Amino acid sequence: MGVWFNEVFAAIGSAFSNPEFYFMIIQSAAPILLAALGCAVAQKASATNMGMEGIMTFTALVAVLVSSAVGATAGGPWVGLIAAMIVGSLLGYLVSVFAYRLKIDITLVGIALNLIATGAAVYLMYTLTGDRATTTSLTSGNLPKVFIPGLNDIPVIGKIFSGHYILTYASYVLVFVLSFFIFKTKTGLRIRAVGENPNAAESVGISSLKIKTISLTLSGLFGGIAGAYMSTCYLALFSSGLIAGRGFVGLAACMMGSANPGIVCLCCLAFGVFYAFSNFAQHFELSIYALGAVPYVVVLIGVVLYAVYVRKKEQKRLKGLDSEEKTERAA
Amino acid sequence: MKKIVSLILVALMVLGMVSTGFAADDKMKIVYCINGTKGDKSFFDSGSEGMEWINRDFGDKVEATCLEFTYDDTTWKSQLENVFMAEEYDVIIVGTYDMLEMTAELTAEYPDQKVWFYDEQWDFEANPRENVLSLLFKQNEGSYVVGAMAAMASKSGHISFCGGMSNIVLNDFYEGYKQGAAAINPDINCELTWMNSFSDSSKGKDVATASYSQGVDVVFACGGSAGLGVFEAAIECGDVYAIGVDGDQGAYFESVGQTEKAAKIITSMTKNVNRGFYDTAKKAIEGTLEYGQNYRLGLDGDYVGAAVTSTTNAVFSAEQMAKIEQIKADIASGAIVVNTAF
Repeated sequence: MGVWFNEVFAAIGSAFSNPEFYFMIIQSAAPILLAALGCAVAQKASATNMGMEGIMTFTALVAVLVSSAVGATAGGPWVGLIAAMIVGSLLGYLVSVFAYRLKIDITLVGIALNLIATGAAVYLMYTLTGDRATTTSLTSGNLPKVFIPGLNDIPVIGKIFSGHYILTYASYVLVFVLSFFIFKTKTGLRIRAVGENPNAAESVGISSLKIKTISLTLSGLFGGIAGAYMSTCYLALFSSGLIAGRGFVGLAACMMGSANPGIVCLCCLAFGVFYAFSNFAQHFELSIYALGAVPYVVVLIGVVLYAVYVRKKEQKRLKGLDSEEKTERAA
Repeated sequence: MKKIVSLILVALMVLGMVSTGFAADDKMKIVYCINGTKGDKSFFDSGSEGMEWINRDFGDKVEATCLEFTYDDTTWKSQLENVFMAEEYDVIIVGTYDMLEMTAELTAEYPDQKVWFYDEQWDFEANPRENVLSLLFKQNEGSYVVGAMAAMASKSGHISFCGGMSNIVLNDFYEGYKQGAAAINPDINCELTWMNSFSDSSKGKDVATASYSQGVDVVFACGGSAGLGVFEAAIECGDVYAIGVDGDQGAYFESVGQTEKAAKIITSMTKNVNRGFYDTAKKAIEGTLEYGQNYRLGLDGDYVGAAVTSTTNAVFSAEQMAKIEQIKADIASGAIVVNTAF
């Protein structure tokens, strides 16, 4: 047991003293963050976008296909990103149509979308390229990397914060953009109002259907960026197992951060820490299965803690209401 | 109405008779059950290419087909059971670790159904079967050769093996790789890493990036589509190399114009499933095939090997290439005995 602990500490020490480790945290947290932000904007309107995984899978393929069709060197990845955003928005809109116009349970719509998207992506890939597992026969290219002048020359800091893909920086900027959108704009206020109490919102003339449609479409847009991130930044190809549950982890991170962009971002970074650690700790004699499970266990614990917190808060509120009622009756 | 129904019935009956008439020829029917899909550019594609070769050369005696079970492992058992129940095929080819247990059950249930089980050891003591033979590729021998090449190409003396999931076959790869590297450089540090996936290429990239940033300069990517991420990592990590697996991945990337990737792949450990199936079918036709035993297919006979591409020639000197050929010959002749995980 003592030896095991020594190995763990050695692994932690080695990982945390390597700038590449921090680089990987930032890089691997970004797609989850994008997915989580997408879930958050829908969650604020009390629409749980379970279909994030499917949206990411499908848009990741779209980005690669469009990018290679335009040409990797002729700005293809950019066009691919835009195409992924459009397709993502459409899929998000589709979820809202099924869930709120056709009144199907939104969780079921999400599950259906996940199942269809994986199959449809492979089918589309096969009919268009003849490949069934990966798009290695296409040259789709990457979005550019950004080396921040000045920052790039600082020894350790430069290595960690400079040289990421442009979309990696964009995803962290989007945290602030989304925060501003949700908390400072009129549409954001309406989204929150519909999420808190749709009847009250309706009573002052806000169409909850319209607001939910907007927020789910936005959610799909974020999903599209996340999908494009996986296939034009993280890698320059699409493979059928590429998304690997990142959409679901994003949804969990959104729940943990109570759909609050700032907290959601921290949750994603926490996941990134454990994910990167599971890669960097490999050359120490630790159980590979335990290592691989660590990020997901952390997510699970986080969600449980969040559920407990919400329940406590709810109980407190009910108690408050209860005592208010009593004082009213006494009066 | 009655007339129409009876007409349809007559038509169906005629059709039925015609189709049984077609099926009743005396060709040996082989079916290759792929527990995945074609299009992986390596393992399963190689096997289905073997089926094509069989049809091409022995088309008058044999009819070989492929069935794709897809990657949904919950359906594999029922699909395989259907193939057994159909009793339509003379030989069923099925394999890999995942299929072992269900094949053991089904072969006991259908003792007359001939099965060629490939890419995993069949334990004939625990499951004695007169109707099964197993084809084992000696991936440890091919891995020994690429391990030696990795050690020659490595400047830092630190190399790694990046496997899909820890199973016996992949550990067999690792055993050979480690031993081959140590034969060239006894002080070499050969690290073992796992991606825990055969399909998540991004995980492959991250695991390889972690290895490269810790001083590793040659990574053996050994895990289907997930391994493709390793090559992407190699491009980003500068002066480092990678090794492909199953098919000649370097030549493949060169053929689709991705020269940047091809330039990172110094060699690929090829597993010629096609040749394994083809030669076994040949033996079956000649009548020299014996059931109830493990066939071990190694460097001798070119069932496994180390691919040579333009990158290989650029990285290794003529002297080193001669040494590599010598190692291949020594393994084939038995002068070098390679460790195995089996």
